[in-house]
Amino acid sequence: MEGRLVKEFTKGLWEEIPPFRFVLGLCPTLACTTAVRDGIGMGLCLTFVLVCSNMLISLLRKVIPSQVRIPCFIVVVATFVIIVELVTQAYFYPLYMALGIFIPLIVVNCIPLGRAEAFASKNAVIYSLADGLGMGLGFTCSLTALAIFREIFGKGTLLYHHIMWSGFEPFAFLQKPPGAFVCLGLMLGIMNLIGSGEK
Amino acid sequence: MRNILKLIVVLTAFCVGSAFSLAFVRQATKERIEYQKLKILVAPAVKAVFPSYDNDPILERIKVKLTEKEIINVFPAKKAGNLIGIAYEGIGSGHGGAVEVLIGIDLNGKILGIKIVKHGETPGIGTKATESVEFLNQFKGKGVGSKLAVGEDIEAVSGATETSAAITEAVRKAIEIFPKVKQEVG
Repeated sequence: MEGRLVKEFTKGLWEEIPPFRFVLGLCPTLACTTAVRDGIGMGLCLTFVLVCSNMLISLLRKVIPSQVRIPCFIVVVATFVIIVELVTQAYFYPLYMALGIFIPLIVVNCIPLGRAEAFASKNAVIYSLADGLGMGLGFTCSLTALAIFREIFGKGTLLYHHIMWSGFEPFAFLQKPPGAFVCLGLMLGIMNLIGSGEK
Repeated sequence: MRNILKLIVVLTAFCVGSAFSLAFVRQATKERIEYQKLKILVAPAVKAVFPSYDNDPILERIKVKLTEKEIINVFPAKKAGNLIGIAYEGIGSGHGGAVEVLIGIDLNGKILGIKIVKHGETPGIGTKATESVEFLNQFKGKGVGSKLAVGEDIEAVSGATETSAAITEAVRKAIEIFPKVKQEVG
């Protein structure tokens, strides 16, 4: 049992890491990675939603009739997303201002719904928890990695502290949406390169 | 038929559960969210209208009911626990909609300072008045008993007459309700 728990947790961190392997949840991956704080914040919001919705759906998987499972999943996911939105608004207002519309957009981001359909509706609560946590943290790491690159080279800062030498000219292109696409493409390429070596 | 009934019951139960939990969370975070919003929007203005204070006027805000429908936030400034003044908003109608002005008043009804919180005036024209320190400083020291009218005791910024009038109107309206607000705040 423990072995399986570890497996379900770690698959989200590497083998099935959401934005790079499944290429899911790209909207926040592109939009919320201009600064490291936003990337981490977005990742943790999604992790919370994933863990909660996975657990609840797994708990109720025998009650939900298969004909209406998708509406039920959406209601559950949307509820947790609104909870996250209200809580970030109340306690992390600057983060809420920075993420803006992308918090409510977690509802239509395919990761929570995908995990509910593909995993939580078929597996026990404890595995669903491990799956949600792994996927969420994998997503957080992906966003953070992209954000570190984009913030350092695009702004010359890290977590809003200047870290580059004084004559450093920020590569502003990386802060713009096309820069996000280029970074994501490079990242996917690197991941594929490493992945192909494993086989 | 029984199957359809089951679908309806389950889906309804999900929605009811969701509605209850959301209502609960909203109720629990309502106060904090209002505080955070005021902190971003109004706190800098509160800092600007009082010379010095040592409490958190946003946290200690008092809701004052003017009429059945009109409720305003009043921000008390205290020093060593003693009330030294109150701040609240007055609204005037400018060229581009409402001009919201925060007014800091001491307990005798004398204006300590004013600051524009929100406006929709034309950049470069109306903003000549909203940004003019000289214009805004004219209000200092005036208060209950002052006429507060452009051309009489307030001199408008030339080229921004309409905005000047709107700011003056906002201050005048705020001063008019001062006795009632003071009574409520105690």
